[in-house]
Amino acid sequence: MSSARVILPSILVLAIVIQALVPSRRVLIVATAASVACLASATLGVATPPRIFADVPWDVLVILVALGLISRMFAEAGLFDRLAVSATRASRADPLRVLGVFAVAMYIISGVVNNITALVLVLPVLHVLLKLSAPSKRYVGWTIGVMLVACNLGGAATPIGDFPAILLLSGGRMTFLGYLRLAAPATLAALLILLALVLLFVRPTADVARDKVSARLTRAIVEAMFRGVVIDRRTFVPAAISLGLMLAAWTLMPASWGITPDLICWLGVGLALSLRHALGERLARDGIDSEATLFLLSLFVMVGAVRKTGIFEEIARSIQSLPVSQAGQLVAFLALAGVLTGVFSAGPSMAALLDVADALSHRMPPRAVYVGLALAVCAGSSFFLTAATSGPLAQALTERADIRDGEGRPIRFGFFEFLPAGILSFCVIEGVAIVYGLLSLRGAFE
Amino acid sequence: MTLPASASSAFRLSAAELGMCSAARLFAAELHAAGGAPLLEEARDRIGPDYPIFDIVASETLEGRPPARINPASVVTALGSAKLVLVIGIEAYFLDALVAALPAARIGLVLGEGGLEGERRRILANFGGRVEDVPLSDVLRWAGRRSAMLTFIYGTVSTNAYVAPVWLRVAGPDVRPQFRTLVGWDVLNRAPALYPRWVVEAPLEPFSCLVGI
Repeated sequence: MSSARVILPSILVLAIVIQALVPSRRVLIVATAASVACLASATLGVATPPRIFADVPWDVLVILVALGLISRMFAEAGLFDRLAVSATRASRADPLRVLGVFAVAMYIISGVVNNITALVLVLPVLHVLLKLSAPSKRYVGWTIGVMLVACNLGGAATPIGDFPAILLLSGGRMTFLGYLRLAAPATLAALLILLALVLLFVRPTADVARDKVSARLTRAIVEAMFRGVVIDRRTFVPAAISLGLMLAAWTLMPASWGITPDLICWLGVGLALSLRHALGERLARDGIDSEATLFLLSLFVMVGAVRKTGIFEEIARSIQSLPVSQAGQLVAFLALAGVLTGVFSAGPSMAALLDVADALSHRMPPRAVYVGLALAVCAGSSFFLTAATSGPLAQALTERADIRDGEGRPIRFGFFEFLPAGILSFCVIEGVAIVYGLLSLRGAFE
Repeated sequence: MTLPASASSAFRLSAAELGMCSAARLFAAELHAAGGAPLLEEARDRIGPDYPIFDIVASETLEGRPPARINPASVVTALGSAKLVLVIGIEAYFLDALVAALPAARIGLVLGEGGLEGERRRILANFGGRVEDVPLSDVLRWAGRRSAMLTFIYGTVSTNAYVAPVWLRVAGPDVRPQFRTLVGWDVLNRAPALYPRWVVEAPLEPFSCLVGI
């Protein structure tokens, strides 16, 4: 077992490091590493592949795939286009309001649907607004940066917003309503603190011209670009009804009935797709995010192999044996989660740290550990542009949009342009995670 | 009231998605409403040299002749009983009117690049599924006895018309005989006085019918 304790974690760490260094090949790297982990586990006598596969949280994958399909249905219905136009109207094309309104809009959208789908459809509208306003490099960096962080916070606000929260919902760690009640206020507080700091102290609009003609033209152009886009009710209604039923079932259905969150999700999506069967068939064939699914499946397999060596329990024991109080141990765990996520992204760190969280939750209030972990992972996802899938995607879309400043110089949005927003966001969200964890330890949310 | 620094790039962005003439109509109306003749004159002098179609629309508005209301009736007559209408290039406001006037026809749209790239998905989303995206390679699939091809014309000079560059890629000698009608819809009724950047000259000869606004 001792050689397995070195080899299997090494495969996991190596895969995570290499995929972080070469993100363009991350799925291939992680999938290959998972097969190597299975081979090593079988030959070293740790566990056979069927035993490792049996421990994969399939319910999480089912929920991810199903919610991705519902998001695609909303996209096909034109919902995000209309929301983007509404956000433009609400912002009155004023640069300061644009930053705030789009951040809040993305926070809300990401809480309910797949944030990648939402980003792909909403970001181009923000790009149009940015292109029309002759922005500064600083303004573009902060506006897109804060919007990405709002996406992460929205994803952490609800149990169906993003992968880490879904993972907590699975396996009965937390109930739908239990998570929502605790995480939504905490993430909303983090967003409001971040927006207040950005708008009052960073002032990214200080060097952006704000004139009435520009705002009027911008509004007219955006309205013209979306003049005929209406929500397709035939697609929207089945998707909305199904999502509503799913939310009601997650909230109201007693756990004793044995109808698990993933089954509710599967049934709900099946209903939505069946009600629009032609579109449903097309989405079922082509609309599944195979990249995210394969990536997470591979991670689960690797983590499953490492788990069999008992190393996660050992890490948990190490944290628990730190010569500090229980509060100090929790802070150390949350800080570790934030930094690991910043470096390795949410998927790998959450998959690995959940076992440690499970062990810690035996000695500390589970809500302090689990919700604190979700917030800390959200903080880490917001640290670097590369820490969440939405970051590189936003970078690619922004590069393609060819935004230019008032002098006609191209404006980049990359790792370093995001960094100031990332550092501030990490500090704010990690701070909220730690404060939340400590308050929970003291029974503040009983 | 002065013209914002981003006006020229804003026009380019709108022209890519709405078409040159539709964007010019939008800008002329908005700027005239916001700052009257002085603002529109400033816009014509700053944006016009790069975008001659805006120059025409702004000049006519300043002369007290704002763009006429779009009436697709003569285009519908020219298309006759065509069941398939393939539109080459985008002029959003004109296409909106045409789509509404042809409730039974199947309509395809070939979008060219010509230096301006609009977001295809967004352009098409405005037509509620009535207009299909047709790649250049699929143009001949739309050919037939009951098929018509239509493009927007930005004025004529002698035996030539100013058209979107994509028209030259489509209307070759091999394609022309495959469609029953080739209609040119003149959206300006006046040739650009400045060098017609963004549009190209094409012979009028292939067109079966030319229609004004």
